[in-house]
Amino acid sequence: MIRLKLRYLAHVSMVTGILQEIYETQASSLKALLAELDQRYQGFKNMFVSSEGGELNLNAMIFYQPPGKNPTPAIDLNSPLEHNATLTFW
Amino acid sequence: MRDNRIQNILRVNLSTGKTRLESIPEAWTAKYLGCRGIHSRLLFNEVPPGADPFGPDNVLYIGTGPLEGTPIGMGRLSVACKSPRGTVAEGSCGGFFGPELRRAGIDYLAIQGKADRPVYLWIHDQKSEIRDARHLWGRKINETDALLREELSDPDVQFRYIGPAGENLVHSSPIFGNRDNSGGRAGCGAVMGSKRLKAIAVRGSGGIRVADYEGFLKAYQHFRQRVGVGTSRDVWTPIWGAYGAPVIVRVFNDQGGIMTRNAQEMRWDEEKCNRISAEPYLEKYVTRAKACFCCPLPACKKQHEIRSGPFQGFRGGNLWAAIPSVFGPLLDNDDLELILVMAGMCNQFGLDVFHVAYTLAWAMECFEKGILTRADTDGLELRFGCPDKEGVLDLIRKIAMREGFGDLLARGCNEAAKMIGRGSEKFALVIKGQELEAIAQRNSYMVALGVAVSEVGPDHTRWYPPHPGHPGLLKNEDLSRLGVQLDLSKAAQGRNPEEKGKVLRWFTISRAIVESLPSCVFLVRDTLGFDLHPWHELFQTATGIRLDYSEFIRAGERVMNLDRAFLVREGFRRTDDQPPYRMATEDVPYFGFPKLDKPLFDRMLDDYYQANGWSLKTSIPRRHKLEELGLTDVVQDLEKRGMEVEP
Repeated sequence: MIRLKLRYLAHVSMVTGILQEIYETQASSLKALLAELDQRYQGFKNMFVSSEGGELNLNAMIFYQPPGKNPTPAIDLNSPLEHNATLTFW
Repeated sequence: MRDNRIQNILRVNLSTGKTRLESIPEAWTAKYLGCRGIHSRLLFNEVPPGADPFGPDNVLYIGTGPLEGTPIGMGRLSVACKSPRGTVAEGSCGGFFGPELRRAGIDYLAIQGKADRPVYLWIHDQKSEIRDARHLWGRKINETDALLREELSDPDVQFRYIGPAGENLVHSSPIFGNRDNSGGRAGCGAVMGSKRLKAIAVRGSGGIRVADYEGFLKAYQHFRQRVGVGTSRDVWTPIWGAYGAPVIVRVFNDQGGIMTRNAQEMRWDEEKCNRISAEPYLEKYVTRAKACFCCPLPACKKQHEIRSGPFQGFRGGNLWAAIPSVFGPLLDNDDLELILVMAGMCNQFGLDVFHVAYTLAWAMECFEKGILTRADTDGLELRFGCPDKEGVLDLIRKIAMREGFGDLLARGCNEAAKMIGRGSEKFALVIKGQELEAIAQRNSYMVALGVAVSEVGPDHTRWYPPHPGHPGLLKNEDLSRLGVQLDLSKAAQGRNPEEKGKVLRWFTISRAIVESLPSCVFLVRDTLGFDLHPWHELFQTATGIRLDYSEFIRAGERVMNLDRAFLVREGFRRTDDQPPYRMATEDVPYFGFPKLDKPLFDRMLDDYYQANGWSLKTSIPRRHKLEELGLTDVVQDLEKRGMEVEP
């Protein structure tokens, strides 16, 4: 189980109803996390992943910030998640 | 019906009270397109070097372009003159004035001379009158708007006006319209005030005809696909479409891009940031959207009202992205209602928000360090966090009215710091004498370079965005097909100096084109910053002028070089294209980004000048570049004045 800080911006916060949360998960990759969040917030995954090709949408962005490091745009759905990382969805 | 091929200009001499309508040379539409491009040409031709910015020789230009009045024009209007700080002062703004001016049969206004009393200009279908404005002088923007609407008894008249700040020659004051819509923050409002011109009112009943209606419609539909909320591939479009730009405060904070406490820090408390972002703004204060003419993304501007508390009943609008950034973290102020009132007061008094915010931040740091005391600030405890809200609001009024301590801050933080001294110059955040904007530099070298070299002082709209786009959106081979040679993998790295000069050059050219058509720079979404074919097709079908794509790009390059030529003729050189002292000498705390030291910045400047064909030593455009652009007269002009134009 890892703990993540999840931040939701603008139209994403319309789906989640909150601006940020501390989230505990067993998901080990971004792909698995998006699937979990889609269960929690219906339609979440479709905002970020193309339903046809399964790749990241070009008109959405996820910033991934490992603990103690600077954030960078996520470009690989299979990238692993670290305990205490911050993800910003927009 | 207007023909878009030939543009005209109404010359208004306020010294003599005479007006004259002239045609602009037909060839200029192909060479400079319109709007900003025509203004750059006129400014170079007509404002003599060394002219007193507040004297009768400075000319204030207000104009549109061949695509204005069509849906692609988006109401864009350019205002230009020589800035009170000596640079080019050019800015564009939206609204409805531009299309109305064209419907009145006029493309450009050139305001010359100086009136002997306050006046306003009333234009209706190519007829113009200079009217007495003594009853309007001293009035705030909202009062002026209401009085003029009542006087002219027509709800569809469109206005541009200045507030008390412009009348009192507060150096950076812009020109306003639609109450809270401003443009020309490098002092166009102050120059208008120096001419004692309070307002311009326009009403037209004509129409705009495009040369090839079917072709234009097809090009417009294609364009809408590229910028539409449901179809755009741009990451910002959904956000812009629903929330408007203030939401970026939270994104910037994540990236080390929030200037906090006068940029002493670059990361603000997350909870504070959440409190001033677009989400609570939309939920609690927004009453309705207010789009510019034909805008497809109307969330950019909104109207708001404070419904309870000490500021109950305060109404305003147009909270663009930078406002919460500079009235929030820069001053360490997390009271969104205070931010709305501060911005609203700037709009009512006709002040530039960046001037006010950065000058307040500089003064707060001076106060924190004991350089300024209550004896200097008319008794105000001028502290970060704005604990004395009423005091800060009264200080904004005093800046506009040039009263007491406000008179010092009305000069801007560059001049104020020179007067106060004691090391305060080191944290005056200015470039070419003008206050910065909201976008930070040390986390994005493209931003650092872009704001430093801008001919109008720091202005991100001359080249934004600060990166080539979403990592998956473009490929090097796509760019090659568009005639753009650069390595995207390096260009996309924010703190890698490589390729920044080339990307900046390209974006500066593409913005010069978009602003010259005109169209809205905030709609340069998707890959439209690189791929100008949609704009090219819109220009050709609207005007009937057939222009090679390469010639179309060259028009943007010509505009950019004219702006640089004006700047260097006024004495600005490479040494003026520099980041503020703080950014050049201090690393970014928390994030660890390094300072923009001289070797690093020189490398990027060299690349930019090299890519442009400008002198590496002086930044003066080289002869071969100016001649290639058909600007031989500019070479002759510069050489006539003894300037060294390298081959």
